[in-house]
Amino acid sequence: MTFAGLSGALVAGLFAAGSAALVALYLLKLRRRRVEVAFAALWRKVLSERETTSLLRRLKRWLSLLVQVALLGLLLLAIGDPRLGEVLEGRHVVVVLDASASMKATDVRPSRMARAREEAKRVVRGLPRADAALIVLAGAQPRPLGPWDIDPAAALRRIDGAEASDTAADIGRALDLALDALRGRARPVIVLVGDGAWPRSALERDDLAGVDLRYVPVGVSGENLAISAFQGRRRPDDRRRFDLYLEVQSFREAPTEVTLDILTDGVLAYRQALRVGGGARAWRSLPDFGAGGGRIEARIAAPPGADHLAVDDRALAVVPERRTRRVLLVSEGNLFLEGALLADSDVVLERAAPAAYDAAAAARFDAVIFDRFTPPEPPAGASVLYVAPGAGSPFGTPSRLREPILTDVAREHPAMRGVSMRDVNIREARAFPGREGDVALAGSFGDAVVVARSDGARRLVAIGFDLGQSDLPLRAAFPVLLANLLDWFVGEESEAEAFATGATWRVPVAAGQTTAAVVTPSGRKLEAPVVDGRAVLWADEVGFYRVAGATIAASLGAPEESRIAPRAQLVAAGRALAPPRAGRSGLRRDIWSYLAALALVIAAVEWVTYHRRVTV
Amino acid sequence: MKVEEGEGAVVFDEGFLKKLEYLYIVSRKLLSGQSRAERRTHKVGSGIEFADHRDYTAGDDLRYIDWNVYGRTDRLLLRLFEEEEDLHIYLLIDASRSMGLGARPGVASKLHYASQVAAALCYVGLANLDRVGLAGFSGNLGARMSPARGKGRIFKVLEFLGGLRAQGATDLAASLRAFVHQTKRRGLVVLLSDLYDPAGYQEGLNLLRYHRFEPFVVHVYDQQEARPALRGDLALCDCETGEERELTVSSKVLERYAAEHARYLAEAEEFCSARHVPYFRTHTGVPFDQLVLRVFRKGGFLG
Repeated sequence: MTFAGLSGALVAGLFAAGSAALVALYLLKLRRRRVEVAFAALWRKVLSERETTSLLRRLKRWLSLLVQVALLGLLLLAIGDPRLGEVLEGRHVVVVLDASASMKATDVRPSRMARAREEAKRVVRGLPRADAALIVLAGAQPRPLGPWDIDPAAALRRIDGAEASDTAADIGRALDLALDALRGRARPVIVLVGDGAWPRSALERDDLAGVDLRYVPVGVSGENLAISAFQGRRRPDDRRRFDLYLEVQSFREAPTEVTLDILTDGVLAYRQALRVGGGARAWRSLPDFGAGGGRIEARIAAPPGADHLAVDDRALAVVPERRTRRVLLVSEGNLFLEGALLADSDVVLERAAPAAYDAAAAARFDAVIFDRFTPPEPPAGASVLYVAPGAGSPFGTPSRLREPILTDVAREHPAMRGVSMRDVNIREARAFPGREGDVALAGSFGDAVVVARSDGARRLVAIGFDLGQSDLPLRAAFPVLLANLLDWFVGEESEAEAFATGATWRVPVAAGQTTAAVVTPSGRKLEAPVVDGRAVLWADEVGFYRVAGATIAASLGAPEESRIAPRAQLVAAGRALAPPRAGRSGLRRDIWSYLAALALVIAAVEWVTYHRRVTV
Repeated sequence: MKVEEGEGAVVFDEGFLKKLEYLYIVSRKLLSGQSRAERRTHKVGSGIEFADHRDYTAGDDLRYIDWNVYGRTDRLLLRLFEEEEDLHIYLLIDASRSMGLGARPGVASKLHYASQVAAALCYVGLANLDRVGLAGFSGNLGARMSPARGKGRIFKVLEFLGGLRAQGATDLAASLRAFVHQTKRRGLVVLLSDLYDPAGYQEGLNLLRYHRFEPFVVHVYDQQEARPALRGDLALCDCETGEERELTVSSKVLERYAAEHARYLAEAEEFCSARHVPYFRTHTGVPFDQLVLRVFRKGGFLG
């Protein structure tokens, strides 16, 4: 026991002095009120009866003294503010609360997140008062919910504000954050509260060795069905229309009948029953589903108890309405180019001879194609495609390649989607030196032959060979490449725009804007900065966003979140994680109030018994 | 008319005297048919009513020899007659310190109360042409008023009573021993006292009986003595002896004391009853005239 108020020695000294004073007072003769009576002999008889119990009376007198001494002792102890337990250095406990999408599962009522909050609160309530707690919310961007809390009530309030997001949990970064917060602090403890559906690699790290790592599992069931893929793609033959592809995955052992609904602008457009085998996938391809320009939402509905996570039962997409693009072709004449461009009904083509090229007029077009002609400066504003450019192009002076074989293709680039460059024959090509930020769409053994560059809102592409010296125009890939390039130039993807939660988005906005107004699915209003003509924002909600007036669809960006089976046991740093243990009582478990209350009770009992003449 | 005697003395005012007159009238009704001042004593002497015979001894008056008996039996027997004389009534008032206690608004001290009762009895006695004497006592017999008769002497009685002071410790035996030795004429002795004598009241009463007085006991006590309103840590001091006792008075102690006091009163009554001594117990809250009437009704005091 330790005294937080008066020191133990002072308490003992005061007690000794007070007790001595009390004993002295008891030894002093009580000055009694003098009363004259008519006949003391009668009182003497009464007293003689009482004297038979004189031993008891003496005992009562000593008992009364003991009560007074006990009262004094209790009051002095209360003033001394004694604390039970040892003088312990408090622990520093970081409670990492899983806020991933899987924590929205309802296999435990009302939800895993609510249960996790309760578990985290239980951990905090069980902490001795010497401990300090830090609550970290582990979403896609882990963050502390506040500073270190010594007061458990403050930590409990912070836990109340923790909500799961529609993202995966970056448990690795959450642990980084926790370790940073614990650096240099005594007796570090990390308590992980969640379903444990985290990558094993995130926990296998050496720097956890010196930390008391604990785990509180949440969740009981892995029963779930999810839309694992949802894609809208413009049809190559008619880019105004699109095909849909959808895939449903089961995380159950038994086969499940689900109902698939697809809504366009909130109106049911398609419904079909799907049978998904246990642990299997079922897919549906819906060709020529419709025209662009609307919100597309897919939903699945499973029997009760078969699907505990709702957030992955929705998948969203927006297929923008395809708009007309104005293209200027500056060429001495190229039937391959003209033919491919004229085949695209959304292209309004104008032609100009190199001699008649007017840079100012060219700036009004969405895209300008320079065929074997290189102006001194690219036109301002418009995106540009250089075909066999000369030395004056923005891509620098190229070097010659004879009969190159295209070995490298950037398939992930929107311009190369659906384009096969295999076995393309080129008589002679030019390799561009390129610069940082350039993307080699196609190359030969490291030499960039087709290069793309984003220059602010404007985009530039250079094809390093004369189309007439190649068989590319004769291939099916050529019109597709050209259409992809024009889509990329104007910011329209060939696939329906589907953003994923938990990622940073770059959404093209109208030129000249520095910020973009954002409205989230839950109605929150934000302002996103615009960098290089694109609004940069980070989202953690599934739903339709409004960004600078345009609609964007965001689906769950972490397929692994659908695998909601909880892990009852976690292994980290080579050891199985145990539940948190209650700390040893530190100094803050004060008992002065109990002592004062006990003194009050004794005083009350003494008062009552005195007035009832029991103790006198 | 008003009689006042000294500070703290008993005060007899006009109303009191009227009440005495009322008591006298009431007593006449209660005692109607009995002759005035003709109470026979047990004394054998020169009366005309035959009482008994006794053997003749030398020196006896020859006139009282019963010659008829001598003629039949040859024995000289003397005829005895009951002697007729005035009744002597003695009122002995306890004037010890304990009798001075208990005075409070609306309630008189025991001495005051006893004086009122004594005055009333005196008045009725004087009016009945009895010879009434008074004496106060505490540690010993105090001031006395010689026996007198006639209503006119009531003022002297009142003056005497007004002069009584509550002082000294009670010694009933010594006081009554002195009384019986100083009083030649036997008669009725009305003892007004609280009987708070550490040595006991029994010896004193027996002295009266043994000396052929007819004792009447009027036992006066204060209700607050029976159930005192005391509480807490006290030093109890006997007002007469000065004896001090420390005591913490609780309800239980009070209950025990009340029982003890009641037992004390009961013992006094039992003592008197066993010896055919009329006993009247009263507390100072009872109007004195009611007590006097009770005495009259019981009989024996008059007629």
